[in-house]
Amino acid sequence: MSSRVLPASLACLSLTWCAHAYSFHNDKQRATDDTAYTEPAGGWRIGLWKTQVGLWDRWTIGTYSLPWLLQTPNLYLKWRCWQQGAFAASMSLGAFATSRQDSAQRSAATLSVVPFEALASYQLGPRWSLTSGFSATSAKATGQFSDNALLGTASAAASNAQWMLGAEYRLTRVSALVAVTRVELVRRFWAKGDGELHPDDYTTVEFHGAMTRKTERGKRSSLVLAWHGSWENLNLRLGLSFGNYDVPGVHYMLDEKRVMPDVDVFYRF
Amino acid sequence: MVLKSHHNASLALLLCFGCAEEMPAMDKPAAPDLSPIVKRYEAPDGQLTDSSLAELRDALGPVVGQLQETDLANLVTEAVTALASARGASTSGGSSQNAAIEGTGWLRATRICPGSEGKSQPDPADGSLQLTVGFTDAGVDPVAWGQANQCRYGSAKKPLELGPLHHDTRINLWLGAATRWAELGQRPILVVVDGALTSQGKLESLELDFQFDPVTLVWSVAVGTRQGWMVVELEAFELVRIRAKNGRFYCSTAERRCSSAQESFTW
Repeated sequence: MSSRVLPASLACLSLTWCAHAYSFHNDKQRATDDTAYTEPAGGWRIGLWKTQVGLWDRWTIGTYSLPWLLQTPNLYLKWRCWQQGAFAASMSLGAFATSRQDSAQRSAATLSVVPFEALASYQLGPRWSLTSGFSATSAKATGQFSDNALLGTASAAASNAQWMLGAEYRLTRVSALVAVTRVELVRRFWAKGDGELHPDDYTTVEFHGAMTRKTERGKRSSLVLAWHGSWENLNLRLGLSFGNYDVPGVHYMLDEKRVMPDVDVFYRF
Repeated sequence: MVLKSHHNASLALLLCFGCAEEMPAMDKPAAPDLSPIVKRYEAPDGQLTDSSLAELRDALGPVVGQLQETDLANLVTEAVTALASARGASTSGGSSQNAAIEGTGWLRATRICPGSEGKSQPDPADGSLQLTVGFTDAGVDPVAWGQANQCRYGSAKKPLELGPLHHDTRINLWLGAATRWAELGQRPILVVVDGALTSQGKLESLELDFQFDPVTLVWSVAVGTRQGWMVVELEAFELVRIRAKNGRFYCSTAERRCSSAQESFTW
């Protein structure tokens, strides 16, 4: 029952607001997710997943909300480095970092993730805009662990590169359809551990190991189909992700293919 | 031109991140080369004849005596099994430990020797055996190597000390090619010892190689003759087989005869 009520309510809400809304799907205030565009100078976006502000006309700084709940401070900077007519290009760089220690302080871990993305967008007339680009993410984790039989340190790193292609079609002044596909071009992973084991009372084993999974090419991809409503201040995005879900912000695709909801609500002012 | 410089910057950054966090080089120690000794055991080049059989018989007495005197098989098998149990302990602990033991790397196991007095608890005063072995995704590297440090074992009546003080005693083991972790201690182990042994208080130099199968309890020893190297196989220190270039011979002490499908020799 509720599965019917929610879409119906949202549709009514959308239609009601359509009648009076000021269109934000325009050339002054464009969608900034999965495009080369940035917030206008002094423009704010505060939403479910992230908060960002336009520092100057071409620079946007922001942070993702959810990682803060997981005690992971993070920041990203996006620079619209080129704009000429219908073309725009941007680069963005982020940083996530966290450090954990268990209550008994017998193990500790640190994690850092640095995502980078370079995108180019092209406005194909009043309704269509296309975006394509590449992203690369580097992550590293280190940890120490100990229990009665084991004492050691471990480190691991993963990096990946993705290609993306996105399209936005403006249905009306306030709503648009968005399609974004991402293909993981390459993923690399390694882990390394050093430590000391005591498998029995007579034996002490010092170990030094490394695991490498060098190159996985083209094994993962995702497709997001979403509807994006944009009113005076409120923006709503509803959609579905198919294939390997791409974790926003860090651009890391999950191994398992699944259908995931793609939902966002944010205010821009 | 501006566009080009931006593209170059993007490309450089992408390349930078694509190659980011290269795995630190694994400083894996090099194993000693046991191939000449392994070849003697795996491809004996001696021809068994009546005369070479007589030579083997003459050499066998001292060889068996040395094997019985040194009683190394159990000591080595326990150390090798401890290597395997180290892997089991690490993989049961969690993913980070799992990652450390799978892939490529090396282990160095130090095992306190059992002593000769039947103690129920390990005593560092009984010395130790130290073994190093490398591993890859395919399993354990073929060679483990290490040393004995005043390693006491044997019995109260016959106390032994392998690698007494000031006598460097090397132990090299051939575990076999393509050995999986689960097969450690379950496959024949070729043992090469070079050093010294104290037996009942008497210091002796020790240069010995033999192969021991912990499952079948068969001992194999390469014996040099004028015809070349041959391998004698012993069960309960009795000659049961000879492997030579001209075949595998089954021996009967009662009949004083070693025979293959094609040939038969007597002593």
